[in-house]
Amino acid sequence: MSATQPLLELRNVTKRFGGLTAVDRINMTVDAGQIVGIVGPNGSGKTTTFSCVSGFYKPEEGSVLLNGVDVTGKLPFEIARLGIARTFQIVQSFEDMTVLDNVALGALKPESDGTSCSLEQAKAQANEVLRMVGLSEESNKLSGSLGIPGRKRLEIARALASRPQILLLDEVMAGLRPVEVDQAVEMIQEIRSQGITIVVVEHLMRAVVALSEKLYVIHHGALLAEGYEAKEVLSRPEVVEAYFGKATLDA
Amino acid sequence: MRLSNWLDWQLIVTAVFIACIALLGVTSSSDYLIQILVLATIYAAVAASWSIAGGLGGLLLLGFISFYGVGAYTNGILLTKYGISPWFNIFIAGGVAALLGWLIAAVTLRYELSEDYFAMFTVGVSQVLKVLLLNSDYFGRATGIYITIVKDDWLMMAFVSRKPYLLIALTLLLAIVFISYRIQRSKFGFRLSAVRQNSRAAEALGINPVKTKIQAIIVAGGLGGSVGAFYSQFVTFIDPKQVFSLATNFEMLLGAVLGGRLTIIGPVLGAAALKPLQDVLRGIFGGEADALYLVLYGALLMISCLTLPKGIAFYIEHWHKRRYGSVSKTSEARE
Repeated sequence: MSATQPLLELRNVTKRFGGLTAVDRINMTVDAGQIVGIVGPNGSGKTTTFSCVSGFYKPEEGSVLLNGVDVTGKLPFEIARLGIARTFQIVQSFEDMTVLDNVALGALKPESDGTSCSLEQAKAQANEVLRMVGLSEESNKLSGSLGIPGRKRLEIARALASRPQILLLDEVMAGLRPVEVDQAVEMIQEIRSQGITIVVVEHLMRAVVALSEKLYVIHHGALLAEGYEAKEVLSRPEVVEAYFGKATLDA
Repeated sequence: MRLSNWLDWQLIVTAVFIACIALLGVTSSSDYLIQILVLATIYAAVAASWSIAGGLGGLLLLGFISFYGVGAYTNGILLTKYGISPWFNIFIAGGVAALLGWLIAAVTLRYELSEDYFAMFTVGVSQVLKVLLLNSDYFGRATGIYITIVKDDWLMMAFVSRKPYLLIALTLLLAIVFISYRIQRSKFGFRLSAVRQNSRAAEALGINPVKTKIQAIIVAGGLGGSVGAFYSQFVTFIDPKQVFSLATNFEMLLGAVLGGRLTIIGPVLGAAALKPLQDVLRGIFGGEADALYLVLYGALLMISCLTLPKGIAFYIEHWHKRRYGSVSKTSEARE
């Protein structure tokens, strides 16, 4: 047993959809201040794992612990109030609202006791966060009018404004150009430097290698590999096989 | 209060409009005109109440007449059986209707009834209430309740003339419009709008969508109940078939939808256009071909639904943006 308690811990988390086991007895630990990466081929259960943590799915077995407290089966808004913020793989925004209002909603996130700051304070905080993610210029535009990179930034800004302990980022770099990926990597590192723990699900290996201080590889819903050195983990034979199939050299 | 702000603009324009109607009513000597104005005001007030849940909250609260009818009966019973003044009953009816709203919302939303079934459930409730009242001796069965007014009595909201009712109705409408305005500017309204636009994203920001929707239904239902209480006092006769009528129900909601249910001013505009239009058509065509006015009315509704899918207020908002667009930017920069 380690002396320090992990910030987030998944113990044997299992999620089934009918006969399909989407997440199969997954164990993970995330320490405070870390950037943890989760990779795996399409359909391997990464997003489902996120949804089990953020309360959108209730796992059939296993438990999710935040600061050692069992939060399994809590509703999404309760999890959010406890300090776990997430983004969505398919960007979710409030399209009829301005960019500023979107982020202000994040800043209005109620605490566990249900209280929240005033609208004016929320807007002031939102302005600050928008400056940090470089969206100040767009603050009065409708969020529906932003392009994909802008919307991804907006989602991160909204999650950030809710002052989370942990930020779960679900493929925030998908669809970005290389330059934009570099900017996103920089932004995520900047967010971590403010003391926010980050878990990223990402397909882009370059970004994963640049960011992750600990990496989990998921395949068919189960944990395939884990380690602290992203490059080394990704070059393990079982990981390569999961991505590219078994090489048939003897043919 | 700035005209450049869309919400403020709507409140100011609605208030001015209401003042104009009051002036028109006070100076008019036609009882017929005042009757139409009061009914149009009642429709506008119901539409404005509904739009808090049905517009801002995006809820398919189709059977809204339940609250109106329950409000009407609350005044009817409390006044005729217990002699309580309608001035109080308007508030009590609001409370009773709010309670009904809480019950409906708690049953449907807690158990995650999907949107279409929620809509059907609310319509069903209104018809169940109708049948219950039709078969209850206490509530006067099919004959309903008569409120007798023989002389002016301010304390009991009883007037021989129709004019005071118009002023009371307009005050009620103004109050509801103001509440709607306050809600749109509040954290609650902000969150309600978020839940309407994207429930999942709202949840991820710590918003409890079920609780937010329940609160919206309670507020909207309560206000609808208050209007119903006033209505019973105005017509002095209510029966279940009338105050739980689905035809009336949809007519009232249509005003909100055609006017623009996401706005404050929309439901008022919609009702102001629809109700008098119906009466004018009936006046012109009512005599020989009795149903012709309904055919024309229906055709007009279809045309407006097709040409104005987002309601009249949507276009006003666009005009407002163009008119004040530059002004609002500079004034915000100054703040």
